[in-house]
Amino acid sequence: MMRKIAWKDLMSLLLLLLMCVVFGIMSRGILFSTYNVKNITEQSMQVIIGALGVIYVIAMGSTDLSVGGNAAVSATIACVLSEKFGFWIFVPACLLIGLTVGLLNGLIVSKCKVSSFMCTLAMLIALRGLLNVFTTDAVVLAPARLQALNRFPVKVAIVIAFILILGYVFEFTRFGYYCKAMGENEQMAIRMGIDAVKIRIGGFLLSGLMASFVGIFQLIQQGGSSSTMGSFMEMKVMMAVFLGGVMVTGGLGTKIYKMIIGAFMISLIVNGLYLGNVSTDYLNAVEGILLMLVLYMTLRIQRGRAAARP
Amino acid sequence: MAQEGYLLDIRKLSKSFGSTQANKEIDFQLKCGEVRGLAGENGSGKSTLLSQIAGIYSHDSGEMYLKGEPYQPDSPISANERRIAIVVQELGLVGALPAGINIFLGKTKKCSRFGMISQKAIQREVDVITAAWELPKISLNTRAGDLNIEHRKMVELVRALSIDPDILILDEVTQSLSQDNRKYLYGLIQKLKAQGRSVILISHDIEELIDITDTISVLRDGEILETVESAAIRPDELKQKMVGRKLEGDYYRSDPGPDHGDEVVLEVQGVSTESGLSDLSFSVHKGEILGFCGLSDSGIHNVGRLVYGLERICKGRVFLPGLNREIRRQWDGPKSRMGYAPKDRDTDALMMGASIRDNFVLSSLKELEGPVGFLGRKRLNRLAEEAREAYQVKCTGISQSMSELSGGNKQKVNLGRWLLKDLDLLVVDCPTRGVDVGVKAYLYQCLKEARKEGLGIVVITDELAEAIGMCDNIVVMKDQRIVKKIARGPGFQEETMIEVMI
Amino acid sequence: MERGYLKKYLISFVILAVIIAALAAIHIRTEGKFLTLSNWALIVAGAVVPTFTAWGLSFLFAADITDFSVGAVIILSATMAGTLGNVMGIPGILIGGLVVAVLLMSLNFQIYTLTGIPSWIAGMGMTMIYESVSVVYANQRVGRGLQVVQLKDELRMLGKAPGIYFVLLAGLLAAYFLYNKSVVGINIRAVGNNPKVCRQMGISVRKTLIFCGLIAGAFFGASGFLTESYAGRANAASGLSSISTIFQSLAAVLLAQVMQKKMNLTIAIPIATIFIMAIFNAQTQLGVRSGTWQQVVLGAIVIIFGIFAQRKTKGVVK
Repeated sequence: MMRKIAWKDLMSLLLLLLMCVVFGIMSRGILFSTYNVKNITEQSMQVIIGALGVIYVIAMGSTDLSVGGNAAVSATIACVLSEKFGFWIFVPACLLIGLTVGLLNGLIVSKCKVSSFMCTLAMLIALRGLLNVFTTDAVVLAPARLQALNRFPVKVAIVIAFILILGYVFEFTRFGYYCKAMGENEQMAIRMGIDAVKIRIGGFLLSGLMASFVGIFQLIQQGGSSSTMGSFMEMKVMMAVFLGGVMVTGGLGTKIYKMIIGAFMISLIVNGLYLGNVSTDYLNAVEGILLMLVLYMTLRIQRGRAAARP
Repeated sequence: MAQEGYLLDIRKLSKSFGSTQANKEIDFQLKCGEVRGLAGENGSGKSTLLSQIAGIYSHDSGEMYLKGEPYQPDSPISANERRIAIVVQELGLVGALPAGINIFLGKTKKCSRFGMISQKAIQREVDVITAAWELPKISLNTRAGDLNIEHRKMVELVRALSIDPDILILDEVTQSLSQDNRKYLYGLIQKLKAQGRSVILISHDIEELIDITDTISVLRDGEILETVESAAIRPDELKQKMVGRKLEGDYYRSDPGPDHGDEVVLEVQGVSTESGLSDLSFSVHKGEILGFCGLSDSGIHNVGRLVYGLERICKGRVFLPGLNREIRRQWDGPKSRMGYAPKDRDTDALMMGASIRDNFVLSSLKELEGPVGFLGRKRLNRLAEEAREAYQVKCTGISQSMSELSGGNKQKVNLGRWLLKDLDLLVVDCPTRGVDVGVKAYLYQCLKEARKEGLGIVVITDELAEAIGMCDNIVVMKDQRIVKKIARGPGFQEETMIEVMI
Repeated sequence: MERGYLKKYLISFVILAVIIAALAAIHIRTEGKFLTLSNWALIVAGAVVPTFTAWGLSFLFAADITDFSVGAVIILSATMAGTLGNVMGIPGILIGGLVVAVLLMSLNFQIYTLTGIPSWIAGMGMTMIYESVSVVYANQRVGRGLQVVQLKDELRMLGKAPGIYFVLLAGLLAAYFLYNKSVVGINIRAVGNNPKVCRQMGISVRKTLIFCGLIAGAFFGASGFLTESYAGRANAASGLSSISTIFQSLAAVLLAQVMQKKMNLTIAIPIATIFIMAIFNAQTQLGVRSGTWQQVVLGAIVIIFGIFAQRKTKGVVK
């Protein structure tokens, strides 16, 4: 039993190594150049930050598709505001907008019983519209002082700090435990005395908060906002979680380390295909096929376990 | 092999669910035109037997012959093709669709043309059925989900009759019908009989059972004890046969009277709920085991939910004097030194995909928290390991998946995780459901020990012997109300309770 | 009882009054351009494609399946309708549109039933794949010096008045009978509502779901060839943006589910779609640019109608 679990959990890591080898050969070693490794890490970091929030939502069996839109809108509006009122307002405004979107999602899903998929998808569409309001006519530039953060070691340090804090909350506190328990069996959770409404809102709040951090990171990297900012980020984040071997239904098998492996995988795929001169047109299809395959495999493993019962 | 003259002949039929054997080598013969009743306590295997005849369950071993030919239905549909129909105990309709369509769902050929269903044809078919069997008209255009339980049962009855059955099986149908509709049903049974068709039925109303049947088979612990002529048996005799079993050794309590502290842990005063419970008043003392008995639709299971704060209260109050606190909402129960082990273990109480450790610790997370809310793996493991030993859970280790355990061991986890905490009150709903005899005795032992330490326990059960064997006081419920409270002592017997229950 | 009735009447009266007031206000603000016959003919014609999509979605929802890859499916089927149409004329348009959508939807349903992946996430995966295919196809045409598929003007009669109204009527009849009267439609609804009881009643859940894929596919195929006929072309979408193309239809289905108490769902759908298209028409008339605040309103409408459609729901919703 122990051995089986270890093998299963190692699988995603093995897959990552295999990808490294394959893409490494395909790109004739360019994959491992310092510049490229830095590039992959940079991409992965954004995904990790987003996924650190979304993983709470996924753990309880819900989903949050508004991450990309939320990141773009909160960062863009914060830019606009900081131009008017000064730089001090940038960070609080950005986080506040992210939290507001998260709160709305949480309230609508837990109180009004709209499925999280539908609600956050609609939210994504609305947020993208809002983004267009700000970016179609004007050029939105990032505040100059933000560029002080645009140094690789600083960013790595920030991400590690995030991983430590949110990883701790997720793996070693009651809140994290309850999120996962809700994914396992929400009926049970309610009978256990877990306030499912409160926990769910909490999860969406965290997800919204981290989305706004994604926004800040993207702004630093790109130096300004555009109508394509944060697009497809929601899928990248979700795929990071699922590629690492987390179940769609969430539960106690949801782990931070799995998500981090998954985040590197998704960045590696994008980067590797790019270096391998595969047209970006095919990229989405490859990602889609990979997503389905991995979901199918995690499902099969889970079912194999269920079938073993007497 | 099959003997001539029997419509249905069953030989040595056995069926088990996990480790519990629901039917043991049942022999059962039914003649043409015979109306057969099944009598027995809950869990004696009546419904299981009927479900196998109707093709809902497949049997493990044994043979069935219908009109002398081998009969092995693999679904209710193949049973229908051999003209056997059942009206099940739980609901068997699709709520979102109109009643009329429900009657012919899955066998729409009769009333459709070119793949289109004709409302008129449905009406015509139903008219033919209701006229032939002299049943009242039913409204066909209302959604099945919007009908009340009585009308839904009538719809299911018409659905069963639509296949023109040789054997009609009725699993506790009468209890949800009013007096008028019962008369229609009795008339229907007489007509079926007159045409040489047979009926098998279960009813908890013993007098009714004797009145409308020709013969009655008594089941106990999955076996048919005997089959008697209805005309030759009196109700009290039949009840005696049903119960029959002696309470054995230290399996149950033997002390003569109630024995508990004076301090009141829970006070329920004149409570009515949205779900229908009406005017409930009772109290639980320190170290008392209070039992709730009644038929499955009498509201006993909702009492557990009510105490734990899961029911909407319209009137009255649920009060905890020790904490000076009222239970009003969903979260009040869990926060009030109270535990609740629901009836549907797998769906409502446990995380089937998670490990034994995670299931054990979930109720105690708050107590296990260290500084900064730290929940250390070591601490969780230690608690789970201790609990596993204390409650003798048979498993390969605390990281084994919950779904791999047997029913008895699952129940040990379900109860154990509450018993290991320091609580004032524990509500257990059907604590020994689907649990084999050995574990049963062990669970009783655990509850008795907890009681000695001053825990107030509310036991909700549909097994009377269990309630009598454990409780200090028993509350009997019927139609969502309390009909009788009995204290341990003389009169603490199954017969007295069955009388008020039905 | 009396007071209950009074309250109901009062509520419907207030709703009606608000709608009329809103219509009048918009009419005045647009300097009399909104409440004209020609404008409403435009709105109705514009509502046809989303209505077909909404009918298809209503079959998916009836079977308890959430699959938003349909946006990409419609784009692909429109592209094929255009390609075949330019070669074979009207029959080519119909065949191209319908065959592609039916095939892709059956593929989707096979994938859910075989793999057991929840339909919403499998649908996302399929969206990515289909979008990619449509982009590749469009880019290849451009690469070969051709245009993105553009249907010849003389073949666009299905997308213009009066043809488009006949198609709408035919769709309404088909949707109504399939949803309410046909054995298949009834079985789909039964399976979506209570698969356990259905199995006991002898309905094959798998077979029913595959039929559901076929029916929904046919409606999406119709949306596809109508898009091509109405707009002349269907633009390839990437980055999940195809999903937003079906959002008006989604909002319409949710609104229709609210209206279901008063009228049949399949009839409520075109009314709801026209209502929603009128909202967007009014916004355009008022000078709101599409893609900006219009899109915000679209998202908000979906959420609001979603809340209304779910308001009686109890139990766990993920």
